[in-house]
Amino acid sequence: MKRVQFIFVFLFLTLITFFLFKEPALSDHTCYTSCGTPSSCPSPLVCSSGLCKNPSCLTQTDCTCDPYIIQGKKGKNGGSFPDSDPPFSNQTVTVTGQGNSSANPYSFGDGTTTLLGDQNYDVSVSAPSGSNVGYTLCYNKTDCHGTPPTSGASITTDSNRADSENYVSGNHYVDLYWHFTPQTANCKNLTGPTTVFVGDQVNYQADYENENASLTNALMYSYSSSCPGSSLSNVSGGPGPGIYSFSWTPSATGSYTVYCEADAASANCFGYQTCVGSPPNYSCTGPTTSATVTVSNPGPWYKLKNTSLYKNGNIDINVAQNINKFTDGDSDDDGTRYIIIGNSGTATAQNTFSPGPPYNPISASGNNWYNNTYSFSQLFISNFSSYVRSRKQSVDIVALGTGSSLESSKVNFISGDQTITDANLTDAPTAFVLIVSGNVTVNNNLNSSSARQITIIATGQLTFSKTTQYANGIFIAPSIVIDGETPPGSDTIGLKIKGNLISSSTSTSNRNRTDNSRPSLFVVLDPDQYLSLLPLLSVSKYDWQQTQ
Amino acid sequence: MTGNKHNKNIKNQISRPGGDRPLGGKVKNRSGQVLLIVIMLLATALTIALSTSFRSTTETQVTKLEEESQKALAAAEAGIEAALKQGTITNIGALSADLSGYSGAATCDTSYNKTYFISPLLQKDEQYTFYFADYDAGLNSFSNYWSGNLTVYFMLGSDPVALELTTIGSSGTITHYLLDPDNLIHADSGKTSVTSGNYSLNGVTFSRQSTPISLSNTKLVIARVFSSSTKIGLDGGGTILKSQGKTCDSEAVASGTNVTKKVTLFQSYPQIPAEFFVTSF
Repeated sequence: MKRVQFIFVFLFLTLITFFLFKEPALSDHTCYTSCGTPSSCPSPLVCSSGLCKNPSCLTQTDCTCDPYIIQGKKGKNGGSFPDSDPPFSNQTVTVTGQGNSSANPYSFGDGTTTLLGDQNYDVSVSAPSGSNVGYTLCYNKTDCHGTPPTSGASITTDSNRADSENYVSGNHYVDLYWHFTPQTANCKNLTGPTTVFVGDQVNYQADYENENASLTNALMYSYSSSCPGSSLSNVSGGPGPGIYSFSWTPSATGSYTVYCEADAASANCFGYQTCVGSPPNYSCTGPTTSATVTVSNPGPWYKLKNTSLYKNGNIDINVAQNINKFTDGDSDDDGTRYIIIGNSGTATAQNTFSPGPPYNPISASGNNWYNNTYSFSQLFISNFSSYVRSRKQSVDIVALGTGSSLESSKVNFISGDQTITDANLTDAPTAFVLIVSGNVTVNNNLNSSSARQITIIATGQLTFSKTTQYANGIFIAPSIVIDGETPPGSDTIGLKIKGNLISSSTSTSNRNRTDNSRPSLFVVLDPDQYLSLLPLLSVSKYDWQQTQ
Repeated sequence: MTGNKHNKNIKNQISRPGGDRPLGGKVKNRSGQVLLIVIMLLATALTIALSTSFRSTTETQVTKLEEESQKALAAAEAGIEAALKQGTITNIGALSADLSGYSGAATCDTSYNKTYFISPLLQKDEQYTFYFADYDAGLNSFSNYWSGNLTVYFMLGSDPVALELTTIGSSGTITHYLLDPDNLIHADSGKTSVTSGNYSLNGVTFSRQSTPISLSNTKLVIARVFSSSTKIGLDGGGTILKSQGKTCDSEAVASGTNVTKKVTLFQSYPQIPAEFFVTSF
């Protein structure tokens, strides 16, 4: 009986104890009520600062945590955010239990899903091969991403910080940026010519450096239509970081992109986005990792021998690097690449002296004597006729050709436009000066064997026909035209003048050879042409004195 | 004396006011005064007339001399002109009827025996053709080419000048020299060394002197002037230079007055204008 009574008393006391110490529910309005020490708050509330609070959101007076958003962007460390280009922009961000996103920017808990305010979430991101990742994280603000990222591909949110840290109003959020760092070296400051002639060897150089990884290999390519393009030859630089130089000899015209590539142990960087491909290949940080290069055929140019040049206008010819003689068998052309070959004088430009191409401009001559912005008076060219009439013996003739009365001891005058050919010279003396009051056209080769010493002076325009390859003599006129084939660039022959060529204005040359490794115009000073005609093609100077 | 007496008489008359005088004495005195005045006027007129006449005569003589002088100078120049064409003129008076009152001769000579030569003043961009061979103007032929060390002088005053020399050898070989101490022309190499200072050559002071240029069998040296005007002096370093042209001397004497005029003219050998020698287009 006693035992039974004891059991009942025990059960009663147990029941009393159960009701006395029963855990109250959150809805029991015990939240934010006073609590002693140790805590008397019902779980999961905790006693904080003398009040029972929800540990997941300590500031919430109703102990109910507001949901929050996890949002952020992805990009290359140090680059712009969000990065619009793969591979970093499309990496996958995963929130445990909430799915994943490859959007950039990305967001979780913004409507389609809800992130509970009293929960912490694990957030992680994928990283492409050859790259490291870090993050910057801030709660309820977005201005913390300028600080160096913390290394790591995952974090766990803190609901309490999401609830209260920096919170002012509106949605609570976690702002999380993922910063990717490709483990690459870098190349930058690529320099080299942007216009190149086919067949010319040109050099490009770039600065290769360790960046996020040590440089293991320095490369350069010329891209035209398929990646990576043609590899350029390393001609200087290395090993290790430094300036590397590469040579390239384009063999076809077109538009090219020359770019650098810097390799490292686990990743490579490419200077041209089109050829980056997929990780572990990345774009180089640069700057200036590529250059657009136009490759073209060289244009027409001129060459002189043994003379001095005064160029009306500019000296601005662009001459290919590898040139050839006027013709393979030409005995006057030694094949050297100067504007004036042989024993050269001074090249003077009325305006600018700027021969090209920029990567290898042709020199004026072996000694490179040149002058620019120099005005050379050539009035005598137009006044010579009057001078001859008053001071020298002259004769007027009516026609050239068979039976012409050209004289060698007098200056010959003829009126009207004239076409001069070898046939016109059949009856001509071996040396003569002819002044034509009008235009002159030299048709076909003229005096090509230099059998005669001739000077032809036109008061109008002097034209060399497109079929004239050799014209030997001294040719003087206010303006000179050298005709060429149509379309331009289809001339198979150049024009060689042995004697001299003199115009008081900028000449017009339409002669443009299919092979512009050879000069379109080649002028060789021939002193014999002058000496034979010295009394006629000259003036006298006088010095007069009265002695008594 | 007469005047003084007359004046005294006048004074006496004045000094005796109211004093009586015989009437005949007054008339006599007045006529004397008139005579005196007339004589003085005549004397003055005579002086002017004589003076004018003398001056006129002198001026006429001077004008005549000047006219004779000018005519003589013209005659001498005519002699030069004729000598340039014909060589030697033994009697200028025989050249034309207008010169019949003159005597004298004119000769031209191409010989040269000096080791230097100075060109006329050359303007910017002009060139001068120096002859380094014996030149036969009639045949337009060269012979006996010059060899030696040639020193070139140029630049008068302080305006910078550059010279480009083109030599033509006996076989037509062309060589260029650039004398540009003031760097008016860009040159990587090949300039001829030039020094600065005051260098006197036959009375002309130059500011630049080249180092001697060795020439061998040279026919012509063509010097082109850059930037400023200058004369060009050549010194053959002891070797006689070749003739550069024709020097003509002419003397004309006016018969009667013996007014004499002498004229010397140097005519260069043919000069190739720079505009016709420098390739240009």
